[in-house]
Amino acid sequence: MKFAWKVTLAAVSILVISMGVGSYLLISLSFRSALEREIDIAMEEMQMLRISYEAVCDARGVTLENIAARSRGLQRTLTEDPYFADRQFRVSTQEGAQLYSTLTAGSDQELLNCIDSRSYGYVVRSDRPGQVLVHFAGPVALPDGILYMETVRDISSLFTDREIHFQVYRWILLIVVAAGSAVLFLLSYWLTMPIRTLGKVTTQLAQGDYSPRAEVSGGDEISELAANFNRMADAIEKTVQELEDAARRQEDFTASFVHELKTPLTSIIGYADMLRSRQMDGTARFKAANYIFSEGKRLENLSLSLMNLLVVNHSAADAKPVHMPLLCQRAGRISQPALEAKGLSLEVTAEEGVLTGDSALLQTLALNLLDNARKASEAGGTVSLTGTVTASGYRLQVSDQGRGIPAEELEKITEAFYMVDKSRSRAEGGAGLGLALCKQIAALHRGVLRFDSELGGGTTVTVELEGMEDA
Amino acid sequence: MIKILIVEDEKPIADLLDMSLTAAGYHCDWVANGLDAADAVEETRYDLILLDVMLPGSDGFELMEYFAPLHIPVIFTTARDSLKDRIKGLKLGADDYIVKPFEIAELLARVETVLRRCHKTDSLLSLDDVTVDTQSRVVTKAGQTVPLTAKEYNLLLLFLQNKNIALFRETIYERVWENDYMGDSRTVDLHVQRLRKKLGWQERIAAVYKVGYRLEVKEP
Repeated sequence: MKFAWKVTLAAVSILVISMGVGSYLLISLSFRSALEREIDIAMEEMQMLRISYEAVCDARGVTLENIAARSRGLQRTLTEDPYFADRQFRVSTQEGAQLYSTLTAGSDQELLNCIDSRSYGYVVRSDRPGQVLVHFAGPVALPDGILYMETVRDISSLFTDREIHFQVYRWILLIVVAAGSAVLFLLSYWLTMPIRTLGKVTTQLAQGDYSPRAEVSGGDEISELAANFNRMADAIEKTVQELEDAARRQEDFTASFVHELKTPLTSIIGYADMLRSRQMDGTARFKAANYIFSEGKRLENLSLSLMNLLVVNHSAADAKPVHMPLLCQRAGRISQPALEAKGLSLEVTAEEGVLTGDSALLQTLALNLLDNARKASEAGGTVSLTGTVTASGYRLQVSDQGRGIPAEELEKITEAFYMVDKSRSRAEGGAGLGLALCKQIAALHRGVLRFDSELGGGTTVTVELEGMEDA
Repeated sequence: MIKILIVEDEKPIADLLDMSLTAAGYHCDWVANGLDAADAVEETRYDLILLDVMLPGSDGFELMEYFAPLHIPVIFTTARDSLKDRIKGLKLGADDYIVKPFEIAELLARVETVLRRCHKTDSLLSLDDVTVDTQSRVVTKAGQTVPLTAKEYNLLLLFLQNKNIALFRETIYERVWENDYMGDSRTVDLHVQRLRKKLGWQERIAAVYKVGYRLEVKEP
């Protein structure tokens, strides 16, 4: 059941119960007081009648003894006097003999038995449907004894009034409930509107569309909920995006890796197959064997680079103070032969400084950057490695005067297996993992790689390192 | 002569394809990227294109869209072996899809099949007085029909497609029985014996010690 319906139903139930009970109590209460009033009136009437009757008896000198003899005269007086003539009453002796009666209803012997010379009594009774009477009985004092008087008052109107009240009230209740339900439903529908719109948004979110947001208006709990929901949706969208990106990167990496693995394998298998199944002349045989060798080397290179990458990713690096000038000099010495072989000169300048980090990894970083500089340079150029102390740590800079990197490639060059010039990198024996490794090492030392490059004018790679956190 | 264009950015693989196909009697040209491939296709009328997918400049799938209206048969040769890529390649209109690394015998067989399907080659293969009609699958020797079983026919076709190449028993088994080699060489031996006998090729199909068999043909 919809929430708006629930609210309406609950409110209407309360309305019906409260109005029903309230009106019943109200009508009952007013009926009761009216009844009491009627009984009081009936009693007063009877008292008046009794006193008048006693006065008549007194004036005529009627006593209990002579009442039988005088009854004719008394009767005439009573019938002729307009005061008595209009009333319904009955007078009887203690023994129950009727002396006078204008009652249309019969006398009530039971009631008479219940009273004595000093008390009054009454019953409310209904002789036929639709008629209700108050029947009073009380003593009439004569000088030498008492008689009994009964009076009757018709209070049927009281009951019919109550019935009418109930009926009218039922109609009022019906109308109020009908109108109230409509108003309440509209009201609750309007109040629950934000919940429904929020619900729609959650459904969209559950179906995988993370872009819609709930509308936030006003400061009530629902808009608070909507605001919180939006915050949650933001967080989910961000996380999902990150997960998707990570998955895509993983997929790209796997695809590139498979490609890098299969390409040399294709050559190795193909040439080996050719060598074993075909008679070839010396030149062709040498060519095939040479390809097997070079592609095998390429596979070896790939596996080594991958190993490095895995080691950086998964090993707990050694955080120790590293004397940076020494490290720079050492990296320079290692690279020197390869650089000289290509006709390049190397300049190493490093300021005194100590950085917390893994010296083996930092050396790999420097060597990789120097190797990249070598690959990009032509004979006769200069490659420089510069170390500078900075406020937050240490800065390594490798510059060359080589061919540079196109601006649109700069973003992608640290991705694994990305190569700006594939055929050229291949010829240099690259697997496209060097800069990916450098990026990892830099990240481990809370640093980033920055490339400043000019096509044909050389490249400067800057690594700002803050050093590892002390263990 | 059948002309084949090799679109491949890896020189070793391009050379491998070139050497294998040239030895099989095809003429090959090699280009290393998509732009050169488009130029080459405009200049020369090729009978078949071997197309790599991961190319510098544009990828092979894009190139395929360019080649498709030209009705030149295309075989993808790529390291991408996911079902998605295969389906994509074939849906774009490629005639076959070879996953790297491949064996030369497989490559030659597939090239041959595609060329035959596209009627680029004569449907009649012949050696000495033996003629094979690859469309009706009828083999005749000196005008007389030679009844061959399906396996024997496939075996004969494999030999004719790989003249002067030593075929390893496992290669034969894979190509003819289309199953991974289980180590039982007697099946292959038995079929070769029967083929030799039916065609009178005791000398032609030479046994290569510890390897398998080779169809020996003197180069003209």
